[in-house]
Amino acid sequence: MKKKLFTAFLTCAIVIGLMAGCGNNTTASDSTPTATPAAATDSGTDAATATPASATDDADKTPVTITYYTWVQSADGEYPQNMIDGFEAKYPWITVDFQMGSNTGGEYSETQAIKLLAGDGIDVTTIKPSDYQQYIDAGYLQDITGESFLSAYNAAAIDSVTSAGKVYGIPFAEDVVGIVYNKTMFEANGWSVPTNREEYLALCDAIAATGVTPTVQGIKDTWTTGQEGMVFMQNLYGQNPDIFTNINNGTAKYTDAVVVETLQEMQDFFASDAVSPEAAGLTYDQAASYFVTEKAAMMSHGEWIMGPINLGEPEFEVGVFSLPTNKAGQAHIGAVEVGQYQSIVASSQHQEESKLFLDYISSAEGAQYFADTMSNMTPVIGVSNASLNMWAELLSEDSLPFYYDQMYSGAQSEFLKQMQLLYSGDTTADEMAAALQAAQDMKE
Amino acid sequence: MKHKKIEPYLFLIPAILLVLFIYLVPFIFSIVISLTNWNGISRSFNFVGIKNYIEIFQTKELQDVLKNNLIYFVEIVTVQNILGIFLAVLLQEKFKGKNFFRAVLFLPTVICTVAIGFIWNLMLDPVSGFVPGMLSTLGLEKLSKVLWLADSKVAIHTISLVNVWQWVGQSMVIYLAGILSIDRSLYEACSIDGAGKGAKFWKITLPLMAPSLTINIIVTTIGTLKIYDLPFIMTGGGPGHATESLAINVYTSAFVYSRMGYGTAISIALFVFVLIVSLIQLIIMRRREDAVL
Repeated sequence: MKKKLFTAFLTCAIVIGLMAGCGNNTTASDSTPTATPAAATDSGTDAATATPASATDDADKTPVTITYYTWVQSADGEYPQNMIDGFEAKYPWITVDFQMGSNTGGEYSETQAIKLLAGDGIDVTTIKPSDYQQYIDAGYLQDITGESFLSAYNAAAIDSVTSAGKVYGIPFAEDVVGIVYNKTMFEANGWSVPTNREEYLALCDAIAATGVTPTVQGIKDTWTTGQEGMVFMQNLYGQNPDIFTNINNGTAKYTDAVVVETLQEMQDFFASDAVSPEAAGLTYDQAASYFVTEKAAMMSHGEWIMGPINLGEPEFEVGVFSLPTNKAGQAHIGAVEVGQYQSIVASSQHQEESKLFLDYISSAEGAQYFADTMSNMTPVIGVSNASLNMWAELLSEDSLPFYYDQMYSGAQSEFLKQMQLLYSGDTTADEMAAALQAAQDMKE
Repeated sequence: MKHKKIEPYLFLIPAILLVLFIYLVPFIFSIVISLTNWNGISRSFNFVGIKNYIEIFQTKELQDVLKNNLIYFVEIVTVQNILGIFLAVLLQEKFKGKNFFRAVLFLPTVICTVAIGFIWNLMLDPVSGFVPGMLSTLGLEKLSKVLWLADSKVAIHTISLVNVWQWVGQSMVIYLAGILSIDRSLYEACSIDGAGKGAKFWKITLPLMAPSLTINIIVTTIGTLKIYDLPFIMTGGGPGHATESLAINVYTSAFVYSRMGYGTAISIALFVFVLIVSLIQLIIMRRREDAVL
């Protein structure tokens, strides 16, 4: 009997041990940050105009290491290291401990939330727009209202980071989504850039008739499915600007006819020859390679796609045109948003050094590293990337922020997963709408 | 009256305290969290009683995910153990290169699961992967077009196979140890009685390796019921929820849906489920051991 009891106890112990990883060992009560109040708002230094500290001054400074947590890194790792090197050269007593967070599957936000809650020693971090407000509400971000480096940004971008009159982060990247295309192939075949949805669908048919896949996407990477849906969903948002607000406050549902109709349009599009069945197994980088090797003529993506496309050294001219969201007779609505915020963590013990860091990356010198190496656009006034001029033209169009960032995080996650199924024909518009609403109903 | 020594137990106290601190405290804390509506971000929460546990049984998505876990369980436990026994029997024979094959088959066990996930992702890549290319070269065009990780009907079986590929070496080694501990004179006696290889396996090897079978089945069962890393790396639980396991659902509920209380409740329910299944298996396997040994 004793032997059996001991065996049962041992089994319990083994199972508890093996299952421990499924539990959560983060204690809310342990996480109270020891916030250091921000210094006077005029204490920041404008790196663009400040006189660099003298060698004597630098020698007097106590060496400080600040931790920078971000998911933003170029494919070859050059960025942000080049920007960090520039910062450390300017402020030699400050060392930046660069910590890269994986953004595959969207786990960056989850890891970041744990780090912030646990007071993990992060000083500066990159924040997604969808996480910004909840971090402010939780008291994780330092108020930087009035800092001089904010004047480096255009007014619209500052608006996007203003919450109840206060600013908690700098608006670092300006993202725009369009249809990137093989300009050489278009010219050779006499294809015209479409100006509305109908023309776009007709163009897809014409391209498919030549044996080339009209449009490709890395469907296997969940986040990219949001880009594949941009033509259709951004139109839903543009024609019904309150739709997501209403869904989030419970006065509308994903199962409403107007949403299901849009999902049905996507279902029909995915069932046509416009997309490649093969793309269901492609990742983001593989899809870019698919485009570069001229197996596909178009991709729906933001300007960030130019990074992997340029790495593939395409032997053709690449162009971009506005998302053909509008049906004939409808006003065109594009997709533009500030895609990354850089914030100082309220519990940071190095507030002044962190401000110097934000100050530097807001300067023309610091922001130019980002624009050049990441192939991104930035709202820092006077900073641009010549190779992205064609994308910059899309910024001036009437537009709304990305539709998926208006969704509740659970519904957004479900949407991206359901898109995979809709793409491969394993679900229908009605089933997808029901699944989205079920996810929305989980919101507390 | 028999005197019981207390000193040996005193020496165990530090180890017991360490185990309690590492495992039991977080476990109890998890139970507390599972009774709240904590979102995992804010510093405040309310106790909601067993609401989260009631929701587990009312959510259809969770039932689908549980079905995936059962598929992993049946496929992996069955194939891995049958294959492990087969390989152990093969590699207990005396032949040249025996140790080489043992090492090669055990090698995937010591490789990081994340690396294995990435390697297989590359090998199964529909455009430039080794597997579709090889199938195409062999003339198996239909098979070469299969989207091994992107077809919602195929992906879960692919992950099961990769999991078996990774861990079959471990099962094989345990079975091999069991087989090599069997008294050789029993085989000699069997040979004198005219028994063939099949009879020796069914009448001697299999019954006498019962303890190895018990430990292997329990370990693979626990491993498959809480499978997380391989499906997460290879498909992220997709396409859709086709390869999502309960452990991935715990993560999604807690961190994506920002419902730490509910996610933790699922993990506690998963723990109870694994415990019950493991205990039932242990009782059955032990009875079998007692009957044959």
